Amino acid sequence: MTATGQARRPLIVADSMTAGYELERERKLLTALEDVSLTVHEGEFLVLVGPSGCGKTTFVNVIAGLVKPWAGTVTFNGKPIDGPGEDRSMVFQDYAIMPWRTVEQNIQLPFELRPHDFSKADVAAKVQSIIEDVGLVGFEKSFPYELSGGMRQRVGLARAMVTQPKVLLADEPFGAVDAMTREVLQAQLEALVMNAGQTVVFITHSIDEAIALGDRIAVISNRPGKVREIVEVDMDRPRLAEGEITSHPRYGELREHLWNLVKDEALGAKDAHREDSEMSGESRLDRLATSPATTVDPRI
Amino acid sequence: MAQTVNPQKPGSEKNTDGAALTAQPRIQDANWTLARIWTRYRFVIVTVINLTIFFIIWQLVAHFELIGPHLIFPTFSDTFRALKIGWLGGQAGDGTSFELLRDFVIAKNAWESLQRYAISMFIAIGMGIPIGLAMGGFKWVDAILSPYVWTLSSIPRLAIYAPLVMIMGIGESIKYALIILTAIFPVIINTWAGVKTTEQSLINAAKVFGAGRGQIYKKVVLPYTLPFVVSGIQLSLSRGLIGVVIVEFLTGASTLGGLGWLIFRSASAFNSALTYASLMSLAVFALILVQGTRSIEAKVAPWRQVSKT
Repeated sequence: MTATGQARRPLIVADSMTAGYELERERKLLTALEDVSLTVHEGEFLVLVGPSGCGKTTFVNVIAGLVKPWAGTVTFNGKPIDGPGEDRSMVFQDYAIMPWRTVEQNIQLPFELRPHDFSKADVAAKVQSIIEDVGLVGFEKSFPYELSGGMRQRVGLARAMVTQPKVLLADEPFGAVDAMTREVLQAQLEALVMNAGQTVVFITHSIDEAIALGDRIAVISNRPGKVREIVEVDMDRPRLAEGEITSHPRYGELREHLWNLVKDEALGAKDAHREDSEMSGESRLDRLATSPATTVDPRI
Repeated sequence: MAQTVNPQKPGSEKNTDGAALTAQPRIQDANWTLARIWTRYRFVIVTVINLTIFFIIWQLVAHFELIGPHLIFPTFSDTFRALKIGWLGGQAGDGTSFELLRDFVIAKNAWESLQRYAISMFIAIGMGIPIGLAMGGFKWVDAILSPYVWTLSSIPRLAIYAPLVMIMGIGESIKYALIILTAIFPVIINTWAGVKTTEQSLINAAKVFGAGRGQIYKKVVLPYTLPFVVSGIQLSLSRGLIGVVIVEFLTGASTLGGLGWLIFRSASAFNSALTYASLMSLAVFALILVQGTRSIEAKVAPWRQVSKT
């Protein structure tokens, strides 16, 4: 985590990838990302910043294996991504934890869904240990509806980290969390990831969050999304363990540079709300539970 | 209400300990004011007063024959007597005008209806849930079945009675058929809706963590659908009750036709006390049923109860 990405092995490689999704009601295909080439190196913390609706979520969904690219390739460890895999896990914007499961049971879910060699006791120990790491001790038997938003996302984070995956994908995980909780969660995430040496692809709206967390920051331009520039964050870790990151000498420069990049895009975002409402999955009565998450078929 | 302690919040323990040492008298005081008793039991108190007034007015209206003669509108006391004889027996042989009102007549007919109702509901729910699941889960099943389901669920079930009689004649089987047809659709449609509306983000999460199609069903869709099924069953139970009464009225019987039959039969014999006694029995049963299933709903899916408020 300390290095800035020099001489690192490429882990996820997107090569002139185009992807999008279908607007079912209007029977239209919407290109979210066009001709994107981006490399995520092993062990790096890559943050994607861009205006809402620019296709960041689609990019992460492609890596997660939930969405298939329409054109171009995305490889993981040299192999094309074909569906989800145990080496990649994800934290969701709307938490996506099961309301009928307790905290413990939610965190245990990945072990139930994929075959593994751990004994019951081993699984329980792993679950307990990650519960301690994210600060959920005492809430093991609580149901999500009894928790605050921040607590719920801790469950989401714990569930994603409990299997120690190679890659952690995070889709605006702290977007709906209040500012104070967000800082705590950011610090916890940094500590967790530094410990495990994970590769992280992290989406955010917030430039401050991007600088606080990222080794590199990819600025995505407005729809259809393209990588506009990649900014290296040359600040040592841990950044969030103590003190104010905003007082770091590089902080102001980076922030200004990024803001200038994002500003034009944000101001130019006309139908920015579109992707958010389409992708959040809320109130989608017409979507089949069994259909692939993507429901994207470029041949239609 | 302000000092109610929420045991789930760890932070509040300290406050309570501190408060308990100093503020004990205040708590006791708050517990026993008239206002507190009122806020706690007002529903019971109001209901008791309400029903008492209702029965008094009923008695007066019937006694002075404001609606009609006793043959048409019985007094509450006559109705109560019919209830007692119909359920508990012990009738003095009161000859001609009460020919229908025999010992245990309500109990026997109610048992008849209950059996019919229970079997029909068992079949309706047992068939409705798998049909709803299949329709929600498989596009082609949905495509094939939905025209029939939506048509049959939309037309008044009573209209199907005529063609059903032509096919099945008037026997025991047509009663079951009509009750099942009345009751099955809320289960099917609710189950279907539960499957269809399962949150996509939950399914995505399950996929990311390795769920295949079968696991998505078992771990996400089914638990998500469960509360929908329960409220579908709830609807079906009250629909089925309507079905039982109607079917017993339509098919008729000479002696033991069920509670629905008894209501109509006693009315046509102008034994109004028995009619109202049977009706009250039915109402109480329906009430217990609805309230019972409501508490089941709360137990099955506590998270939905909370998010509703």
